[in-house]
Order: sequence, then C-alpha cells, then structure tokens
Amino acid sequence: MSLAVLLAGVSFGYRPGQRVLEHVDLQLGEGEFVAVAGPNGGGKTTLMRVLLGLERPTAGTALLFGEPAHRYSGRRPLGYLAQRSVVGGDAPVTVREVVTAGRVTSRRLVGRVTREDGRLVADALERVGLGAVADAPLRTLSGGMQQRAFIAKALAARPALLVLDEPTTGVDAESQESLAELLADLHGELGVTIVYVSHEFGAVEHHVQRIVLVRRNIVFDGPPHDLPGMWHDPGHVHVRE
Amino acid sequence: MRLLASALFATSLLIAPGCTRSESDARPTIVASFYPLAWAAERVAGSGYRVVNMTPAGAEPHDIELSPRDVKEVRDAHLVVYLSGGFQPAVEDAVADRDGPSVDARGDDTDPHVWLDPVRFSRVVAELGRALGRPEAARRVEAELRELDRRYRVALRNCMRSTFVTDHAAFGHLARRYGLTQLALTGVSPEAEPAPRDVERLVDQVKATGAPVVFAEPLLSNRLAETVAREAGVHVSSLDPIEGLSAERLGEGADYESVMLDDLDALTKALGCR
Amino acid sequence: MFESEFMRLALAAGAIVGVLAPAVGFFLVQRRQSLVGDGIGHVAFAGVAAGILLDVSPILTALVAAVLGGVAIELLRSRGGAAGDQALAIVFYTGIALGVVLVAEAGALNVDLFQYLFGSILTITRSDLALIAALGAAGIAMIAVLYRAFAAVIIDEEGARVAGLPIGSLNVALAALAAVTIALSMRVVGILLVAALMVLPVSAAGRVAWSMRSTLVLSTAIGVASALAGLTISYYADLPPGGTIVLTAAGVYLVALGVSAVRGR
Repeated sequence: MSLAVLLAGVSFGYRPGQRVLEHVDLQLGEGEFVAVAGPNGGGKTTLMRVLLGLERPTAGTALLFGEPAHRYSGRRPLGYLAQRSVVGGDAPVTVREVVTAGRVTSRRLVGRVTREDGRLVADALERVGLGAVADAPLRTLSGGMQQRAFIAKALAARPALLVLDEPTTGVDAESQESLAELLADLHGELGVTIVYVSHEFGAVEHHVQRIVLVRRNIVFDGPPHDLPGMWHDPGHVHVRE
Repeated sequence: MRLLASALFATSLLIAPGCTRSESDARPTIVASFYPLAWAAERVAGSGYRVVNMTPAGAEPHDIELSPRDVKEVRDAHLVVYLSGGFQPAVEDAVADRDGPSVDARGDDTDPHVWLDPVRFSRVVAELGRALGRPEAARRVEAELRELDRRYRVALRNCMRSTFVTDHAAFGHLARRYGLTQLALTGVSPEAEPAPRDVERLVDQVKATGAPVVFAEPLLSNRLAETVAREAGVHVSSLDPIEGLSAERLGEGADYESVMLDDLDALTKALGCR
Repeated sequence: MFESEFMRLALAAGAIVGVLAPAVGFFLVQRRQSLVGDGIGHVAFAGVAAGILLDVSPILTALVAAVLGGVAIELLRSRGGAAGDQALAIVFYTGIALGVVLVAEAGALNVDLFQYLFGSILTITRSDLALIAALGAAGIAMIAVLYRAFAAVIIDEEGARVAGLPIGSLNVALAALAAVTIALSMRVVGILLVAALMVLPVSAAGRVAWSMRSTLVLSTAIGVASALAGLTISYYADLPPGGTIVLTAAGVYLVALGVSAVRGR
C-alpha cells in the first residue's frame, strides 16, 4: 500500500522555542479512513497544517504522496475543510458556486467553467444530497447542510486525500451521524483517504479503522477497539513519558 | 535633467521657504508679500535695502502659509509691503503683530490685482517712495509705469473686438483702464468645478465674443480653460497675471515690465488690434 | 446634453469607471480589505502632489504611486503577525504624512488640488479617455480572467491554499487592480469619494442579489447606472457631477435596502 502521508520526526512551533509538535511519526496509507483526536490545543490542527504543506516542520520530514508537503505539486488533488467559520464576505453565494469553487486548483487557475466541471459539480452535489438546493444561497441552509456543501466542494476536485478539521462544529447530533455515514460511504465508494480530526470522535468511531491521538506527539495509534476505556474521554489523555 | 532640477527645486522649497540671510548682510530689510510688490520695492528702495519676497518663485501667492521664520522676518522688517483684504491672510496676521511702517497696496479696491493697471500701480509706488523717504526713485519708477500705460493705450486703441476671455478674473483693473471687457470662466481665484450647463454657457459666451483664444495663466493647471476652448473651437494661450514669476523666467531676465509687454502683445493679437 | 463633446467624454469615462470601481470594490469588500483601498487612496493623493511638484502628469504619478503603495501595503499585510502589522502601520502613516507634506508644497505652487479631491470629469480630454478606456479594459479583462480564482479564495481561503492557489500573488494582483482603479476613478469622483463608488454599488447589490456572480454583475450594473444617471441629473439640475454620481449610488443603495427590508431579509 502506497503512502499518502509520511511524517518522520516532525517537530513544529509557530515561534522559535515553541513546541506545538514534537517528534511526530505518522504514516497514512492510501485509502485509509482515520480519525485524529486529542484535547483542544494539543496540536491536531497544526499537525494537519504541516501534513498538508501549509506549514513547514522545524525538524523532520513531511511527505505528501512522496513529495515534500510544503512544495507539493498538486499531482494528486487534496481536499481540506478547515476548522471554521463561515464563508468569507457577506455576498450571497449559492451552494453550486461553493462547490464549483472546488474545481479551481493551481493546475487549473483560470478558464471558464467546462462541461466536465459542471458534471463533477453536479455529481458531488448528488453524493452529499444537496442536489435539490444547489441554487439556494448557502446561508439559507442549516449548519450541517453547509458543511455538506463544503464537503461537496472538496469532492468536486476528486481528491485523493480529504482532511476535515472539526467538521461537527455547529452541527447537531443527528447531522453528525449522517455526516459520518456520508464519509463512510465516500470512503467505501471512492477509496478516498480520509482524515477526520475532532476533539471528540464518537460519531465516526464505528466507521474508522484507526484512531490517532495527538497531544504534542502521537500518544496512541491503532484500531478503535484497542483504545483503553478511560481514553475515550480525551480530557484524560496523558503524555507518554 | 529637468526632472533633477525640479526635484532639487522642490527640495529647496521644503528646506528654505523665503531667503536665507547671509551673516554679512547688514542692510535693513523690506518684506514684500509677493512678486509685483517686491519688484516695485526693489526699484524704489535701491541697493541700500534688502528686499525679501515672501512667496517663493513660481508659487501662487494666494493663501500662502508662513513659516515661523517668515513671521519673524515680517515682524522685524524695516518695512512691509503687502496686499490686505483676504488675499494672503497669513501675511495680514503677521503684519498686524508688528510695530513699524507698512504699505498696503489694496486701497479701496475689491479686486486685488491692482498691479495689472500701471496707473493704479503707480499709487503703490508713490506710497513706497513716501514710506522709504525716496521720492526721486519713486518718481523714476512712476515714469516707467506711465510709459507702460502709454504703450497699452496706443496698442489697444484700434481693435476689432473689445472682449477677451480669461480662465479666472484677474484682469478687471486692466480691462477697466483700457475700455475692455473681461469674460472670466471662474471668479477671482480658481474655484470648484462648475456644473455641466455652466460649462456650456461659458462655451456659448466665448463663441458669442468671437474671441480666437482663451487665456490661461501659466502657474496653474488649465483644465477648464482647455475644455471650454476645445468646445468653442479656439485654442488656449498664456496671459500672465504676474502674481509670481518662476525661477526659470526670472533667470531668463523676465520682470514685471517685460511680462506686461508680453501680455500686451497677446491681447493685441486676441483683440485684432492694428 | 449630448451635443457637447465634454459631456460625451464625461459619460464615456463615467461608464468605464462605473464598471471597474464596483467590480474591484466587490473583491476588496469580500476580502475585508478596505484598509488596502484606504491606504492606496492616500498614497495616490501623495502621488498627485509629487507629480505636480515634478511637473509630470499627476495622474501618471498617482498611478505609479498607487500601484507601488498598494503592492507594498499588501506585501506587508500578508506578512501577518505583530511585525507585519507594525510595518504596515509605519508605511501607512508615513505615506499619509508624506502626502500631507507634498500636498502642502504643491499647494505652495497652488495648482488646484480641489479637482483631485473632488474629481474633474467635465475636463476629461480625448487622450484622458483613451487612457481610462485602455486601463479600464485591461482591468476588467483581468477581473474576468481571475474571477474564479478570487472567488475560490473568498469562499474558502484555507481550502484554496491547499489546492495550491497562489494566495499571495492573487492578493498583490488585487492590490494592483485597486490602485489602477483608484487612480482612474480619481478623475471622475475625486480621491475623497473613490471608496464610495467602489463600495456603495456592491453593498446595494449584496442586498438583492441571489448568488456571488449576480452580486458582481449587479454591482457593475448599478455602478454604470449611477454614473450615467448621476451625470444626467447633474446636467439638468446644475449640480457638481462627481458628488451627484455618488449620491445617486447612495440612493440606489437606499432603494435596495428598502427592497430587502420588504422582502424580510
């Protein structure tokens, strides 16, 4: 199995002397569905940013599909739902416009919306179940549906790797469940490598094959059923000495 | 090269508004608030006095600001010659703070451009002569002004038209003296942009006078004059109200008299005089 | 009204700026980068003063100053963090101070700075219009080409970053566009009102439009309509044209506000 992500000995701090991440070793194989969990402030988001090439590690190596992450060529498309937030600006923007924005990449920066674009957008909308409201303004939708729109946006690029950071923020419990099922379906159908980052992973626990706990470094990495009971409450995660 | 000269010129404006006094110059000072007054003061006072022009060469004198050093110079000067009535309020304020004689060129006139009428200007010269105790010198200058007046009268005696067009109303005194009519696009000082139909009205008026040219003064930008001229099918030409002379022209030897004669030349052409 | 060439030129210039200003303003507003627009306006005015002092075409120096200033402001802003903010503030306030000094000196030469503050659309010459048309067309073309990239950044900046979009370069491009727009709009409505022409039509459109694309299109439509209607009103009502154009845009905004209130948004 080829590796989507390889982190070896990665350390990172936003300021000199700061240690947000320390000696992180992590490998994600293509097609895995992984949950990344840990306490707030433990470095999960930072880990994703380094992994995706948005930040450069201060020590160690970060590789994306074999290439240095911060100089990634975009050979295999990536999808990222950052911890968020609302769409920037006050302009009304339709669901379709959000999803179509996902077709813009470094390799296809300019140019009109092609028929292929339209097809992939429609496809993505169907998959997440937003086909009926495609032309509605985003802000008229519920939190859960807005998240689906952004998932569709990520899907429209046909990503090989999809990272979702705290996708359940502002989403009610029932929607969290259906979101998790949607991701599981996508994983099953498309074989996308999915990384689901959350400080609480109850919704996806039954869908993922692997859980990684992050608190400055990798504290746990294994199948969910191996996770000791007390660690289900992330507040009790200890740093391994 | 011109760019460099302009940059240096601009820098000199920043550094030294007004003249700097050399240590060895012990002559009494006359402060003149802008060029024509400085010209008159120099001619009447002679070499025994140092004449300082508050308005830098090439700057427009209207509403100038005075640095603290300028204010001191006004206060300490032996004599100040200026123009009251809101033309240069900063100068007026500095003069009010001073004890010592001053010559106000304004008189009772509402239009400040008194120097453009040589006869009217003579009165300022005469007053300068009295204030400085140099009546002989003053009479000599007055004679030159009379000659200027004569040449104007002769040249403007037989003309096809009597109306000339200017971008702002600087030449009222001159027009009145020589029986001409001034059509001004804007008032006594450059103003806000007129409304569209005002521009059209001006164009119609210009056409009605049959004037072949719209006059604009050299120191200001002349967008309105150019627009009106273009619409009326005439061109723009220079008529200098001699509020100041650029360093360049002073260097070429231009002065009040020579520019008045240049203006006369421009006027006779525009009015079709024989 | 159409018989006078200066009115025809004014209408043409107004229309071009009426399209370009809101189009660029749209992206600035969405990116919450009005500060950039503000800073550029001041730098442009300093550029005007510099041009007057150097006896060079002030609109050209304004253009150069605006582009350099806009790019500098954008590069500093994107540096982020405290150091970036401080550097930005220094450039910003130094720029304004420089503008004040230069303007005072240019005022000593007393060219009529009024026209740069409030606009001089009635005195636009044929060559002015040629420049406005050329730069305006270039600007609009650039927006058309970069629209999808700009939109992607507005919709989801982090996602766009991961997709490899050159965010920094796009921001610089936007700053340059803003600079050109401000320099051109200066002739029509003056420095003081440029921001209004860039923002009012966008705000109005945002109240009644239903998608991002329709907001942009409606913004430019409102911009053009405000310019043409404003000029026409100023003609028949004998009012200063620059201010009337902006008041017209403000009026459209109030109408849009009313419409959206009635609709219950």
